[in-house]
Amino acid sequence: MKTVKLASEHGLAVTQASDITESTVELTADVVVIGSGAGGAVIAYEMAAAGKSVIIFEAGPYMPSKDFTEKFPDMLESLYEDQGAQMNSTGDMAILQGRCVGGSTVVNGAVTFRTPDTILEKWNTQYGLTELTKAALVPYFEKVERNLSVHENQPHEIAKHSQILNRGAKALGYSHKPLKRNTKSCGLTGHCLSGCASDRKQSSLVTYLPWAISHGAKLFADTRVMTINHLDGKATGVTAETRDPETGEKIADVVVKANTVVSSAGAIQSPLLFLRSKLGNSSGQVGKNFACHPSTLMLAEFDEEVHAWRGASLGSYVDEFEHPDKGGFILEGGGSGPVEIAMAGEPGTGEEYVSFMSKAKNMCSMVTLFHDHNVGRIYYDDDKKVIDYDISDDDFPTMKRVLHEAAKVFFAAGAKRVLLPTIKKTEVRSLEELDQQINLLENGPHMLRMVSYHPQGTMRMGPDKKKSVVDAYGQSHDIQGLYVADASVFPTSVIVNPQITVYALSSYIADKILGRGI
Amino acid sequence: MAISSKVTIECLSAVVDSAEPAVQALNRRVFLKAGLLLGAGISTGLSLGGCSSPVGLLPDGIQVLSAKQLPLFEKLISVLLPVEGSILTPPNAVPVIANIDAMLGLMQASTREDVLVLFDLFEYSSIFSTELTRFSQLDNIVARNHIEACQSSSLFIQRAVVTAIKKFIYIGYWRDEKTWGPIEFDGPVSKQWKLTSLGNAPLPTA
Repeated sequence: MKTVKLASEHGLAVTQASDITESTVELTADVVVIGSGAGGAVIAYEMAAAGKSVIIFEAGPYMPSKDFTEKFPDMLESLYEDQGAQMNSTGDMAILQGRCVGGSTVVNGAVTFRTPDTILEKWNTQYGLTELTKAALVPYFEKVERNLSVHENQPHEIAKHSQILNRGAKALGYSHKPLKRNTKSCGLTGHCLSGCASDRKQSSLVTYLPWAISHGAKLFADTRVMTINHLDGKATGVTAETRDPETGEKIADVVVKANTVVSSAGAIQSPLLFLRSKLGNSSGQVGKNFACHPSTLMLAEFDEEVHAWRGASLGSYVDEFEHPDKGGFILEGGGSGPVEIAMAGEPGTGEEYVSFMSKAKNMCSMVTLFHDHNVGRIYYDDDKKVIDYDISDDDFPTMKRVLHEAAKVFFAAGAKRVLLPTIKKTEVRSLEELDQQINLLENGPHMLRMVSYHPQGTMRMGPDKKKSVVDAYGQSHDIQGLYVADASVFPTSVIVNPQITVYALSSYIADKILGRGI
Repeated sequence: MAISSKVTIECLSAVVDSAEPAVQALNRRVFLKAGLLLGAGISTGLSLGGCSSPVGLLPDGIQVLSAKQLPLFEKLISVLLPVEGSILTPPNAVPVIANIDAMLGLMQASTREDVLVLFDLFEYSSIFSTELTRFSQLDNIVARNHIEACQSSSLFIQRAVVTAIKKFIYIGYWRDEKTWGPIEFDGPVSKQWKLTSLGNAPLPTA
């Protein structure tokens, strides 16, 4: 058996735009992987470890961790899709995704959850994924969790914001737990969303990608796949463009011949790639069924100092309402820096705002997310991507309940005032005021301050060719050898942070690809 | 200086027309309602105190914003960040406008154009409630009230524009490290704490 050594202790061997001197590059591989996040990195590693020749294309730049500045606005502009300004079409929800080598795994909060049992049961019974059972996935969860050093947060990883969440939940008798994270000797910097400068977050950047490269995979940054090529119903490769990340100038056309193509570009870019390529859409479902766990950052003022930016970004969570029958939402004790605090709520204008920010160290933050319905759609309007998503009227009562419970937890923990995440100023100082203000909330554009970290759906997995884009093994119903392995294949949203579901499902799909033979 | 109603109408029409692409992605019906409100105001024969803003010199390094947009941002900073008497860093110690200009420069061209139109819309959004005074020319108290009225407006486009503008000002301010000390924000810490890189994880053994 061939002994493989880690190709490098630090950093990655990446072909970047600056490395390319020819205007046309032609390559051949067994497998082309599009995207280098949780899905693509796993596929690339598993394929390469099985002896296949692998090429990975990442549209974003390669930024080694030594260049992470721990300045959130800077990193939004460097590491995130649309420089952190990706929005739904209404313009009232930021949709944050990594756009860099390593994808969203580089910029997430490192929180890991297995897919809730109730979600897998729904996928089994309502979406025909009868093989995708908990029992079938457990070995994959165990494998990726082991590989990513997933562990339950220890007491020193429960920062003040999460201690306050625990205190409030305990007072209310709500179930709450430490979160699990994929970190190793966490430095407790509080800068997870800016990338981990000391490589303690076990993102793809320091795990599956260097491992794939060690097994011979070739990784190209700054290179966006424009179309998937096919002939007689079979995938034949991709056509891509390498562009200078600074100027946007095209450096080279890149053409790869490969009989296996895996799209792991995420729940927004994977459907756009299929639509650009004009393939794989006999169901008419490409881009549909978008969900995204609409999140808010709730803020509350306490007499005690919180310094919400200190310690592990995410410590513990309230799981009292996780089951859909109990609400289908979770509340996470989450940190925030001045930029997030400055924008998460509306304390008023002018002097009120200055007074509020002067007490920033007394502000505690909490992240809310819920199991939304798949009501959105991703499509092109001419050449402009459109993320058509608004909270549905069916989901809005859940959002109201989420905000209500989050504020209750804060008050139970001793908050002086809570800022509801509304566009206009909505400050509550008692449970009575809370009830009144929650009742006044209306669903409409630009009513709430929302952010999504979890785009999902859009390329549903399922056995029915008329209702899904890929089969139960991730292969396109229409194009043989074309697979999808990312959060776009989820039939529904998963309630919780989805990265481990993506890692495990991609590991599962990798096995299926290898099982079918390449 | 008063100008003719014809010029006024042309100016406002230009603002409305150029705003159209910016809000296509939003709710067209509601925006048309806003447009009709503008039109109704114009039809009353009110005049506007000048179509173009006083034009000064652009500070060094400003590449996206125009000189006529600077008064809007100067007014916004004055109204949104009245830090005198507080612990916060004076905004004149921070290159807020230059930071905003740099943020705009990084945006995709189409998005940037939309945002610039929204800035112009906001500059003129006060004329119907303030006797034809542009936002940048308002007294600070009136300007503050106008912002809060927009933020509580039943017209979502007004809520959207004000929220976006506040975000630009706040990010332009808080991203500068000179603002961090007074609130005890630690900023980057890994180097200060001498956190060494753990590097790449070893290859899986199983």
